[in-house]
Amino acid sequence: MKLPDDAVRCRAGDHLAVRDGDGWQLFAVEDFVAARRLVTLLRDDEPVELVDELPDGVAPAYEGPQLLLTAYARRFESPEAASAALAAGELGEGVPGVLRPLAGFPSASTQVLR
Amino acid sequence: MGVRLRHEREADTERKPEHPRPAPPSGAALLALQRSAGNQAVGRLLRQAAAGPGDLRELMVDSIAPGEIPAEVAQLSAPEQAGPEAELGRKLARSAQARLQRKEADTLELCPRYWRYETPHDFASYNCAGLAWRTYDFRGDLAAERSAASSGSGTQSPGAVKHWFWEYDLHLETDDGRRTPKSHDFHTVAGVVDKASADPDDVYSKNGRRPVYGPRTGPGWKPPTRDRATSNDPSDTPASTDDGAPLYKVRSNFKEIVKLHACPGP
Repeated sequence: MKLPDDAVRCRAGDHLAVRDGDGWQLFAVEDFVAARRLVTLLRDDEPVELVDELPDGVAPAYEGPQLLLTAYARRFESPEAASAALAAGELGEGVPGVLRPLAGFPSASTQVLR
Repeated sequence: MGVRLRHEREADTERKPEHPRPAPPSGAALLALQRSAGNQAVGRLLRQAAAGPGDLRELMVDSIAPGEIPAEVAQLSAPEQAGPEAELGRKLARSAQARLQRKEADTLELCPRYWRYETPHDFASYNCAGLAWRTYDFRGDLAAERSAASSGSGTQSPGAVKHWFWEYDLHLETDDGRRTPKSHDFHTVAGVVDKASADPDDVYSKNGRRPVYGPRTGPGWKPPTRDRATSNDPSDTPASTDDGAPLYKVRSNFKEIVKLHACPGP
């Protein structure tokens, strides 16, 4: 699977500082994953099985590599401030299991913290 | 810019019938052809064929492409068969092939980007719209593609690119009554109007990330109302449920757009 051209280059275990308005939000990269949509097969309106969506012309859902992330609620003034909080173990509570497309993290507005 | 590699018809991936039908009586074969190609076209073909061993290459018939000759007639042309029916089948096939070659030559001269298709691109990287527009990318936004197809304002003149666009409701089902909710989907193809201002026969098609098939006429690519669902990848593998029941695609509520666009250049 190709890496999106404009997306940030990162690895599992990295943290991503993403510009969010006037501040920066922090994410921990847990994994790269691929996702596909399943549709419900019904018998008499009762769900009995899930099958792959098999579209004709429309783009399949969840195209491209996805990031499984932990998202932190705390906002930072700068990537440097986020990095300092990371080093000090002061990120606060995070929400695990957040799925986002890698293409949604353009290198122009994302900094990798290692 | 490097040399473009083009699809060679000898290596065509034209889909074969899943269940070849047995050879019917001759009358049934001709009726099948008549249903497929239309009365006038078949009438001309029959008159030419009945006239004897004449050369049919100049025959002007625009209603049927080689890929659309009914299986019955293709069987009539099998080399092991003899007699007037086999000869008729062979003449029909030769005639359709000659017409296709003429149309391909017109396409190559009038709008070379649409001569067959470029082969370096991974089938998984473009869809029907990427092929129809010869941009070789994945253009999967239905509303955007409807708008693009609708924007054509050209006339049916030599070298114009004719686009066919269909949108419809789609669901999956099994023969034993299981089915998915409907979604909305589309298919589109395009080809070049020939020097006689007639519709193209050298139109190629691909469905999602599946392989390219063809050539055929443009209307010949209208998706069927029901066919076997296949994996959305270049393997085009027939899809089934976990318990082995074949999955079928069912399409309904068709809307069609046919518009002419300017050739985008080489």
